[in-house]
Amino acid sequence: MTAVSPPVAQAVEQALRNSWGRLLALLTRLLGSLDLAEDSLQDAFEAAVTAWQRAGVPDRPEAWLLTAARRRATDRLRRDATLARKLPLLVVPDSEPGPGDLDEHRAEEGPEVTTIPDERLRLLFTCCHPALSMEARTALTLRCLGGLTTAEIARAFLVPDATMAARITRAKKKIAGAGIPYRVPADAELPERLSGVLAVLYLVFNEGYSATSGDTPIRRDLCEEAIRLARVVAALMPDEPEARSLLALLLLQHARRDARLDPAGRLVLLPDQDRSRWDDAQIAEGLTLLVAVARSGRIGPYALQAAIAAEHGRAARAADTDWVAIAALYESLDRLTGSPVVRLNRAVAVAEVSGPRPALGLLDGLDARLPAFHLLPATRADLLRRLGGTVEARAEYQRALGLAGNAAERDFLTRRLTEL
Amino acid sequence: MQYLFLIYADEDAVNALPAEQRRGLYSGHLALHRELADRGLLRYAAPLDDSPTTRTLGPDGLFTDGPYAETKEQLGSLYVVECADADAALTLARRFPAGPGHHVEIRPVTEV
Amino acid sequence: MEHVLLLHANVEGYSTLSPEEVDKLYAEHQAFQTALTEAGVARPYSAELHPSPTAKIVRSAGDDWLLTDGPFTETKEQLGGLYVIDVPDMDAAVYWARRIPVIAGDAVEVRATKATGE
Repeated sequence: MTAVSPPVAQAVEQALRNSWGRLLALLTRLLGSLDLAEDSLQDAFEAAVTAWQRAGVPDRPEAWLLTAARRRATDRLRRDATLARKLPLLVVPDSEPGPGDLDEHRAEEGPEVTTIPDERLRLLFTCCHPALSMEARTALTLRCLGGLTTAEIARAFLVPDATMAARITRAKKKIAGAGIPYRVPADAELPERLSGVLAVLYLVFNEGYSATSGDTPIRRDLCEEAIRLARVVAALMPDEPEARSLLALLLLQHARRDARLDPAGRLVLLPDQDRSRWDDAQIAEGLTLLVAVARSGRIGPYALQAAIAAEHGRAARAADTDWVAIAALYESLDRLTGSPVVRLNRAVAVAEVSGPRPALGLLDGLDARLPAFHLLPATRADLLRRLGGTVEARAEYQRALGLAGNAAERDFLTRRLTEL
Repeated sequence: MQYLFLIYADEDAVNALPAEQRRGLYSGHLALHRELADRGLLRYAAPLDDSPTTRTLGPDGLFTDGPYAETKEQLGSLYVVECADADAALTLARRFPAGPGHHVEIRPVTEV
Repeated sequence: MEHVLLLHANVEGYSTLSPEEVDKLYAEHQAFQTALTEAGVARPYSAELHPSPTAKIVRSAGDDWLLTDGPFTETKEQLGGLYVIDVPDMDAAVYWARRIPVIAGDAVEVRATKATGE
């Protein structure tokens, strides 16, 4: 096999990162089958390595890859006459070309393709369909929209390659078997379905964000992949403020990444972080996005969460944090979502404004709803400590330790215990 | 695509409902049944006798009285309906009259 | 009177069948359907259910509908098929239930449909 020169390898890698999702989405619509689309696109990329090495990188790599993928799909269908019959087909509403109509597009080959229609929203909403489990949605989204390999996704979620491959295969079978339609949901369903999509992206981000100490490169890549996809969604859905809000939230949180761990890899809490290590450009971008969101007047849960992150982001020092604003935002979020985690965070904010006692009251009744969440007893412990209840605080830290998930968390709680 | 809708309910609680509420559930089903039939979408539907009347052939090859799964919520009726896609099926699933312990399992099927 | 025969399939067992074994099972189901016809038993409806993971539950929590992925019970057997047959009584339905092609671990439930006024 010919050795691949760095410029060619880089061009292929770049095309993979930038174009996989867009090409896959269009091919899926043309072919009516996610499987066939994926196989053909994979073939096209492999062919590109050899072809571009021999003839140079084309002016419009995306067009080249699309043509190559379509050609290979046609070849596959011709070679195996029964394949078309056996293929699990997607329900593709309003499709002009259908499976088998591929030949009609031969006229558009090569340089005549001026724009590749962006079908990514269809692909995204399909991958994030509520009929699929969150696990399946996440894996599928990263594979189809992100272009990550199965191995990369497996590593990200700490499961064996074979497990992740099976998960993705099952998800694709389910899409075809259950008749999940390949389309952007109708306006009436859109808000609910969009929040499902955003939830997947937020989950991906949090997988990367809550890294164990010594955060490995793949975890940071996850955060960046989530941000990249959030950008795509925000760009493709300019009329949906929640999409922009999620992007703002991710940027504002990610901005703190270099200050979250000390040199020894231990967790540093927000008030103690070295703010000079925050990414000012990302904070600025997050704040700008929120201005537009505020103007839209449509404030959803992600907008509120982003606004809270923005309050932290715009405080030059911890002491400058506008806790009154944050507490008010958490109250709105609490009312909107009824989420126990939100209530917990609200308690922390209330403590900053009105002291530990009213905050403790807010935590009442949460244990039943968050039986395995270490931050609940940890927060309660902290409030008790501030009220001078050392004995109860110790007990709560112990409870938290029993629930903590990774080394950084356990280490932090142990330190708090010894400081008591 | 054909979808099978399995309607589950807490049988005992349904039977304990005041007669008027039970009638309400039943007439709700009748109305939906009629609408789907009129639209040519209903392939098959039936309410089932109470679960204690079930006879179950177990993996051991022996028949026993009673349902297969001893759960509080039992299958009460089933519908087979032609739906455009999964989203249409989910929309329809929300329309079945809901008694105590109500939920709906949606399964795509191929008629044989 | 219509009776429903619900085939609870041993999911793991079915997943390990060879293609030849699958074909044989399909052939046995065809034979079963032929037997019903030859015995003059009407079959208002019968179907194969797509594999369980495509199941979806919509559960009411007050006014809210919760969509979840997965079947109702997490048992080893999931509903794999159903036959609706028109027979005089439960005994007759049981007779035919015994003859449904199954693999080891399968179960079959027999339930009469409610006699309706329609």
